[in-house]
Amino acid sequence: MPDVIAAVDEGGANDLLQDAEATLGTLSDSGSGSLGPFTANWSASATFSGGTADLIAPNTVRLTDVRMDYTVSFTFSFDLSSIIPDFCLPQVCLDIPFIGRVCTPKICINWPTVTIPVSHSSFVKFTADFNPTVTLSGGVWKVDVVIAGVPSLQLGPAAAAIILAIGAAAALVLFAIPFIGPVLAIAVAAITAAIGVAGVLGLLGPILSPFVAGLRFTVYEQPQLFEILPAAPPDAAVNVTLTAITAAVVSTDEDELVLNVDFSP
Amino acid sequence: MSTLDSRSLTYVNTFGRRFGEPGEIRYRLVTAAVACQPAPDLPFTIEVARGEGGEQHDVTVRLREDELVAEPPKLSIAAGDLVLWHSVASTPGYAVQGESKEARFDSSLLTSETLYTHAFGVPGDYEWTDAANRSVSGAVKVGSLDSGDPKQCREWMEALARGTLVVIEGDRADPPEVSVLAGQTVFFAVSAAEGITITDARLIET
Repeated sequence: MPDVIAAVDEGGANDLLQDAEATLGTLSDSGSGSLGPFTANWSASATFSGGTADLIAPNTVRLTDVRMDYTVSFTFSFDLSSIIPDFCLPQVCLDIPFIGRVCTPKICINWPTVTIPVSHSSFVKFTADFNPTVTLSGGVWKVDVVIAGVPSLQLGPAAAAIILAIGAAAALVLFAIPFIGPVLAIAVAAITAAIGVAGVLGLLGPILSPFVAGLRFTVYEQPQLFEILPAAPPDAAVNVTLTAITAAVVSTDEDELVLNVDFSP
Repeated sequence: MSTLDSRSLTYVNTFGRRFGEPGEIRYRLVTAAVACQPAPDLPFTIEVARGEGGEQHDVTVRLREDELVAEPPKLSIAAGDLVLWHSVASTPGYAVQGESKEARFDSSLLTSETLYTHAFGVPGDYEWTDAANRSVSGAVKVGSLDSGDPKQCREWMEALARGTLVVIEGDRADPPEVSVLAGQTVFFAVSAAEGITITDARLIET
């Protein structure tokens, strides 16, 4: 029989979830990955909010409709010559009264390497099962709920929006390139076609999934050494040591998250 | 890459000069980086023979083993002919400096019967002036087009083959303002001047 038993119902679990999401704060990461045929450097951040906790015995906390707000920023560079055809200004001839007829040579343009930055912010909702887990680390007991599997994230709409953003960003960057005019539309179309929605998904999925895959909400935290204050003087405060904590979802007359605590004086 | 500045010629520019007198002209190609260093030799020559003239001779400037070279290095022309220098895309900005027994010339100071052409690559309004003493100035408005419109693209491609002439005589540019489309070439022809530049005014604002 444990020394202390504490239990929260689903209402209480929802309150703990909200607090845990706020405590988790903003997660961020950076790296590089494939964007269609290109390599992109990226940075991303994510925050979690909302969701409803459903306690399912024996050991599952199901969080429904958790919202992940995220921002993904990436840049990709490539040699424009690999995307658009060579372009040459034609020979131009002019009669100049005191010089005579002058013809400039044909000028062929060397397309430069361009860097296109794109940033996209949005959110995605997901449902996932979590398991309560207890750890003692650095003299502190923690009760976490840890995600049990990676849910499928619906990133299709985001990918479509990012393709549009890539097109807009590419047009902006390319517009400043000398002589691009006649092939600007071709270049933008070639870039977005080369990447495609599948290419964006191929980048976005591996960026955002790890935020969810490693999701861990701390719902209870307590130092192992615990001071109990006296009810009234002249009794002195006493320190007790929490020697063991277990957590589980238990079904009695209703589903509850139950903590069993043992301590020694 | 496509800066409007006759002092530094790039592949979107040409520099032309009509040689009216017979004789030997020797010239060098210099970059801005060596402008303050002792002048190198005059390795390239133009032999000007008596004749009626009126022809154009092209000289290609390129970088070979870290040196600017002229192709052909030696040119034989008739008095009254035009020599037009142009470069390939990878060539750094350069100037042409030459001299004969009678006179000197320098592409970075345009004088009578010289020509500077510039293909404008980016839409915008360009105020140009003489960086040497601001004796003359003008403007070029460079328009863009909707590259998604095939009709506009077709018209533009045709327009690229048409040049626009600005004649500079003393302190006067005629016309003082021209409008072109991006990609079109403006010919700045100097009929009379003692040494001017065609320079984007933004480059010399203080």
